[in-house]
Amino acid sequence: MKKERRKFKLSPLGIYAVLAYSFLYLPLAVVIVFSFSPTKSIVGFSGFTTRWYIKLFNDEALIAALIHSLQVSLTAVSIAVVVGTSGAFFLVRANFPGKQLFRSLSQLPLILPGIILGIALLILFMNLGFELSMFSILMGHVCFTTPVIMFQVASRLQRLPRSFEYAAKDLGATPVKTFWYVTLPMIRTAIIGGALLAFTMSFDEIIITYFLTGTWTTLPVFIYGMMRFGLSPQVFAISTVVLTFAMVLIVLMAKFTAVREEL
Amino acid sequence: MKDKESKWQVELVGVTKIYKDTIAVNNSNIKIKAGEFFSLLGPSGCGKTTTLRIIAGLEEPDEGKVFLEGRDVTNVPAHRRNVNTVFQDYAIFPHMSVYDNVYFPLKMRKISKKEADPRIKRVLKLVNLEGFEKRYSSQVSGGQRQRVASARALVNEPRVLLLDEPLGALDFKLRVSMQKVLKDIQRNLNITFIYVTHDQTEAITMSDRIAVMSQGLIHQIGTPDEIYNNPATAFVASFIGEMNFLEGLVASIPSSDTVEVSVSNKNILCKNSDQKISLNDGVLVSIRPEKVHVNPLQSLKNVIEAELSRIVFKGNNFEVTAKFDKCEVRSLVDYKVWDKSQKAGNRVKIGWNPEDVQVFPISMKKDMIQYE
Repeated sequence: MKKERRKFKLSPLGIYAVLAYSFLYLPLAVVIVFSFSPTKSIVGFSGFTTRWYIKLFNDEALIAALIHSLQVSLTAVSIAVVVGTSGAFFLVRANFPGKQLFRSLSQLPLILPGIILGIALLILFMNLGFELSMFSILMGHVCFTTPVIMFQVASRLQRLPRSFEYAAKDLGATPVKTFWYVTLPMIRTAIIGGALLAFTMSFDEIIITYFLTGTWTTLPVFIYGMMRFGLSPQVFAISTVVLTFAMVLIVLMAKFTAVREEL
Repeated sequence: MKDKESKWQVELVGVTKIYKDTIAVNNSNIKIKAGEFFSLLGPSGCGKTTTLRIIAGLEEPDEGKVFLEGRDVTNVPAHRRNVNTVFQDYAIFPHMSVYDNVYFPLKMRKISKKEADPRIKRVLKLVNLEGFEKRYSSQVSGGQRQRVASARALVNEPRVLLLDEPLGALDFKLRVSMQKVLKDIQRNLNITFIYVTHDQTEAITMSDRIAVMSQGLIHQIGTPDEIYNNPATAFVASFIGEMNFLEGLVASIPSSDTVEVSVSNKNILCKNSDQKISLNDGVLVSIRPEKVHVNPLQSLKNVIEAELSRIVFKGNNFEVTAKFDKCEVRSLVDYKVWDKSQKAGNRVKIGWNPEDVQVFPISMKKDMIQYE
């Protein structure tokens, strides 16, 4: 059997799409390409080198910032998973006056401009007498990652018929076992998807972190600091690393949060 | 303390459930014998599913008590009651295989997979699902899902199986064959079935006894025969089977077992049921179409003149509508008996036996099912 070949034709809509995507992705491509360029300027490209990457991995301060970032993001997301998931149950299952208002307010840390949340948290920590440290950054990250997971899990819970839980109870499962064997496996993909999204957001967050950072800093803030000495190919290199990492996470997340017909 | 012996497997005493501003179940009293096939029948929203959920323990009654084998279980949660439910949407756990779904209730009782295996195999054989163990619910058909739900509910060997419209999602042919499967299972295992349905044919063909419900109220509990031939209220009469209803006034009460009702100046003789009916009361007269004879050959106590208005061929019989004044009476006539030369407009005699005609107070008209 012959496979039918579709001829690629450039329609006006196609041209528009190419332009739009070029606008979005060309700068990223430039960053990737010039991270392998031996010259320090982005004008002109000759040869291929990995020396910026080698330099990168020998930069102890940068590696420390990367580890800090991982620490903050992983811890923040772990806390957000627990708080966000239980919050989602409360939002979907509990009935109380002002539920709609509560639902909107719970998304506020996500919608609010980072600068406002950053200043607000800074004022709070200053007044409480906390030193700016990993803890202050962590709290800031928990603030905006929790709503992400809560929203993902809540929308899954909303679509999940209660009859599965009724059936489990009817078949002899205690409330704890019902949650563990029936409810949790059915919302698992939403939790994982939400956590991956929250992690990507936390990993490259800069504004809130900038306000809450003392001497202890994360990778995005560190990169921002590097920029003060000009756009070095080393910045391109680290950006490429972060970009690749984020892409992997986003692909994974899309896989987990895709709406699947599960019934 | 030992619970007192009870001859009732399931007993509801004065059970009432109120949601916000509607009474879902209104002072229900039901007694069900062990091994009985008992149906809760009624239109949607009549409270039959709520009643079932109260028996399952998934819903707590606002008033009244629930007894299982004489034991008061009103406050016992669902997972500690020896009853299992087949849900309307089956609720097959999508993340478990057919086998693991059936193992689930045994796992909850801390029975090892090794020990459970013969029981799971036996129950899967019972519902004819051998070879489907490794499939997931998305990989089996509607009828098979129904059987997975049944197997899962039966594997614990419950004393009572609750079924909430278990065949509602299936097409007609499959429904009929599954009715037989369920009835066989019930008979072979000799367990009590409490079966919720809105399908009167299903209830009549399968049940030992039926409770007919409407708007939270139980109108009648009885055998299918009693429900069909002696409906207690106009609602039951209108909900079960086909029925002619005529409005009239009580003209005379000639004897303790008959009432004469005047309908459009024609006198209709009716059976005097135990309802308190007195002279000049407004009443509803009800006659089943198959009890109405057109141009009867045998002598009937009650014959009136009418005009044929419509003749509809229905396969094995004819539905013949006869009119007198503004009243219409439908009759079902067997194909072999019907005189095919009859045409609409012909004058005919229609008749019936007074034992086949029931009267209800006119006040019951508001509860009736209206098919317009």
